[in-house]
Amino acid sequence: MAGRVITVTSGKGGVGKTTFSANVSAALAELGKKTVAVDTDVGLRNLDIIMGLENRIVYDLVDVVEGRCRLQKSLIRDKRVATLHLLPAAQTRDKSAVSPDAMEKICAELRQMFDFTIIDSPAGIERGFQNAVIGADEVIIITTPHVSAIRDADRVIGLVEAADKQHIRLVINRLQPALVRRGDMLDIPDMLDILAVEPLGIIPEDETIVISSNRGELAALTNTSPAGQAYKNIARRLLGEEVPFLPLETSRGWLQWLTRLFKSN
Amino acid sequence: MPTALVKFSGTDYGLLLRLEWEAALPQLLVELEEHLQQSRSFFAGAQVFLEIGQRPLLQQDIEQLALVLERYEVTLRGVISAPAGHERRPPVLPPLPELRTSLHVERRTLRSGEKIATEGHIIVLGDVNPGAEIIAGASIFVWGSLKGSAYAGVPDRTEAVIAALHLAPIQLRIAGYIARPPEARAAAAMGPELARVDRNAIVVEAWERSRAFQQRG
Repeated sequence: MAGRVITVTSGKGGVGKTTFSANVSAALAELGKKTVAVDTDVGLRNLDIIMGLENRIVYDLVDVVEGRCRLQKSLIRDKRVATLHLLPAAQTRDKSAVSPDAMEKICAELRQMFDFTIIDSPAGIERGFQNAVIGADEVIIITTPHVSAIRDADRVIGLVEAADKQHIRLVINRLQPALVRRGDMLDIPDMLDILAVEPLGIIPEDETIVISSNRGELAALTNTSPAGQAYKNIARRLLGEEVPFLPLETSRGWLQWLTRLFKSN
Repeated sequence: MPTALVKFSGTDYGLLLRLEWEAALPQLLVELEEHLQQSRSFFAGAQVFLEIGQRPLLQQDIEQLALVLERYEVTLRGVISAPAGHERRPPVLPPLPELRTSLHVERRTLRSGEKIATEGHIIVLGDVNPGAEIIAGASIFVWGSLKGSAYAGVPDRTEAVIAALHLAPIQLRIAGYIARPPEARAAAAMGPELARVDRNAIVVEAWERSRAFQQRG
């Protein structure tokens, strides 16, 4: 078996990488794919909390790298979805505890064990980012409709392109259709114009995400909120299905614009 | 008193010195010296071109002439050896620096944090995104949107220009001049534009209206 290794990254912090990684991993698992979510944010681990698996951690990524346990033993199996797994980061060390070489080896091993390996990367463009990207086949860039997030996403796309990763896709998170309609938020065509990568999904701002994240519940599994639906749609698009974008009303007919963009690809 | 053997005349590019080569060189030198002495203050600091027609001239002859001229603070800028009748042809000057400038072509979009710098011209076939930076010793042309920063003519070539299909930069610099777009400038619907230095400021004008590019070759 040779699965897909997909890294989720953004450059900027706080745009929703971890929530995205957790929910898309869960949605893929629920669609029957054997999936592992990997937390590479050594020293500032979060993915386990969002997934509600914090209290089950025994071994972590650094234990594997330093040979204290086998990879298989560090994986936590989710109780809600049997095909969902987590490889947690260490909380007591920092990013230099893992080398890009070691990370590449772990990715190669996970590729043999899982259909999907979803790697959640830390903010920034330093060692942690390199670790997260080195073993990936595909990269998903997350941004929010903020000028600073777009700028960082653009920088990261440049770095990912320089690392010769061919398959790069974009997710726009926390879009507020009402603000876009009033012209107070960046419009989707404007963002795609700058970043010029294929869009994979658009996730609306949704307060139920805050609540479910805090409880360690996964929106993609437990509710039918707009954001939860968007995560599921993204998972299906990753599997190659053609899923129409959510009908978020905006002023400039960006849906037609997106359709055109897809057709031209 | 001036004689018919030595004659100075003004031209577009400087003073032209003509000698009657039928006379022997020593005689010419004496006559030249007399000529210069008579109008010393007029010749001081002047630059002259020596017209020799089709006459073959030894280097030492020219050196002797130059020595006399130097004594009167006159610089020998060049020797014109065109046939008679073509004496107003300008002297052959060294090639303009612009013609010797190298050209770098970047076939991709420059993203935030990327920076390219060359001593010559730069052509980008793609966009320059916000946060990207281009630095050129000469001119910059972007076949795409210029939304980052561009510094042309580094450090002091004011004849350099910056042109783009869509010019919406964060900041422009040409030689020592800095400009940033006015706040109210509409981002969309602008055609190709060119920025250049005019009367100690950077001006931006529509490509069609700008003749600067043609003038600058």
